[in-house]
Amino acid sequence: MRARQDQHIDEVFRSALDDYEIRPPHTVWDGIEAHILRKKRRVLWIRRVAAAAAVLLLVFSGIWFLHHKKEPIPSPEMISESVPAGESTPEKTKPAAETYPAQAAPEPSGETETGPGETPIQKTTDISPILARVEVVAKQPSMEEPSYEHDAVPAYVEPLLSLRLSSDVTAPQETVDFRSEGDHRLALTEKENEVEWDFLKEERSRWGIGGQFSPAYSYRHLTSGEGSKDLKQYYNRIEEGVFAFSGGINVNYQASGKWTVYTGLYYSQMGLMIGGVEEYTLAAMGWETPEIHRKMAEKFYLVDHSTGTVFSDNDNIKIVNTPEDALYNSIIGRDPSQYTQEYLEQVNAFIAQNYEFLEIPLLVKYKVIDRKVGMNILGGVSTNFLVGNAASLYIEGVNYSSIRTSNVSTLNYSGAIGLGLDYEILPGLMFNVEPTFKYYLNTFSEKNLIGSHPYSVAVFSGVRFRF
Amino acid sequence: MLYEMFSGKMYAVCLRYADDAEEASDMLQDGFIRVFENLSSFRHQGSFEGWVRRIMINTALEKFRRKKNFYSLDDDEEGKTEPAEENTLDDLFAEELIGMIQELTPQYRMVFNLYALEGYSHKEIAGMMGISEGTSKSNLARARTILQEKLIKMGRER
Repeated sequence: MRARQDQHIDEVFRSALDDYEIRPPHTVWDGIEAHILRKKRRVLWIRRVAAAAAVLLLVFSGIWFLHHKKEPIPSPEMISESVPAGESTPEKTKPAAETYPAQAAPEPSGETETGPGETPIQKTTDISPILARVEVVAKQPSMEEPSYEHDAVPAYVEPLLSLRLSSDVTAPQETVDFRSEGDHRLALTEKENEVEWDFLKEERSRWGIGGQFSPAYSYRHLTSGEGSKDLKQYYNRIEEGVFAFSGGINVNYQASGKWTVYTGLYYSQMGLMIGGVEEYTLAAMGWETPEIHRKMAEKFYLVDHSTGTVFSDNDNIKIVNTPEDALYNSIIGRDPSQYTQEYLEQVNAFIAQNYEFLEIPLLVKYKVIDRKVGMNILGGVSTNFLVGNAASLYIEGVNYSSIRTSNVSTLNYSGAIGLGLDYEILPGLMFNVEPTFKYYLNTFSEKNLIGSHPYSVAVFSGVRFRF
Repeated sequence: MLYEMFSGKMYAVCLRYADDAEEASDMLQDGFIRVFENLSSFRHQGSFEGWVRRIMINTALEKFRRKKNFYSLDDDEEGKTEPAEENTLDDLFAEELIGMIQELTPQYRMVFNLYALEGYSHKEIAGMMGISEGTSKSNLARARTILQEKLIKMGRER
């Protein structure tokens, strides 16, 4: 009873679904067509390179042959005079007539037999008869074909017609009815050895390498630490973002049809323009001792910015970070409260701070559109190692280097999101453009008054090559 | 041409094996790429449609194996139905049946498809899916029960 019921359920599904057809979305064919064209172009590209290599080899062989033919061929006597007996090579001792043709006729002669443009598959049989039969059967009036929009034989089918069967497939002696009713069950239960399925295990190349470069606008986002709102506003007023660049190489692995994982090594820059530099000198105080006179020549520059504490390794430039520091550093032993802003003068100076990072990204890309021009969305995280920290102080157009910012984090983590467009310029070689936004997840500043998160907006362009 | 001849039928096959229409489209695309790339492997033994169909099933099986670790065996998934086109009653019925199959867990779905609709034995299914014959049998029984309940429910609603 139970068995009959089971059979009944199976039968309900089988009878309803056996001949059921539903038109797939057009994107399916687009993807197939793009794949076939890509593959065809790749084969053409490889053939062209091979042909060019063969021609070059032929040309060089010819030149080499002509060049050596003009030289006097040494007689055995001359050889025995000029070359010690033990060093003579077999080629040199051979008569020239035997030597040169053998050297001048390498692979090109093999190439010319088949021709560089020929398919490597030999003894091929055209598949057209099979496809033609498929078509004849398809057009039988009894077949209730679903209507498709492709009425005529579309141009994109052309690559399929060029597909060839290998010689071990013999043309069938009798017509095979590809549409035979219910036959799939029989066919599917046929033993595996009748049909080679090994090819299904064939993996397309999933690995690729790439390189990218981008100009980038970098700045920082301030979050409230213990610092006041005013402090944030002050930093926002005196600081500006800068244009830098970023670039690197990557290795990528296509995990599935749509997902690709990237990692690699990138170099990136981040930076800040820091204004609001104030100059402080003792001259305004009017002290007259020799020591003070000497100090009068010294100038202090008061700089404060959001990502850290500016420090000078340049003996000619003294930098302090707070007005109090300036005063304490210059007015030794005096009460700083007596000397305040009046001695601090805003000058036309700014600091250009540049940070350099080595970055190891782990990015995931998801292919949204798989066409000639594909579109991806991408996201991921990066580990950023601070490897460069240099700033310059520009005063009235004069540049003082050997300045840096201390109290910054050397190990940082960032997140990135972006959108990518890619286009296959050569088979296997994709050109890509990726507008990307990167944001440091941790605060870069080790000051606890305020959180400073560098960010950058970059438009990467580069290439990716799949093996 | 080849694609136009078989895509409708094969898409219907893929829909039965897939979680949803998007996955079915991917399956169909991958399957047809394999068909075109391996036309020379067709041996003219058995029907051409059977060969194409088998490639689709292999593609589905590969996807299943790849995703197997992410699947839980017993969770009943929420329904995923195909957007209905303007079709005949038969087509609507078929769509509903496909919807029911899609609602099965991936493993039940695979076993039911392979046994009831493709005609494989439990032994073959066990080999293909990397499960035991007993599991294949119990999965089939469970799948049938679920489908029967759904059929009865559908009958009542009409």
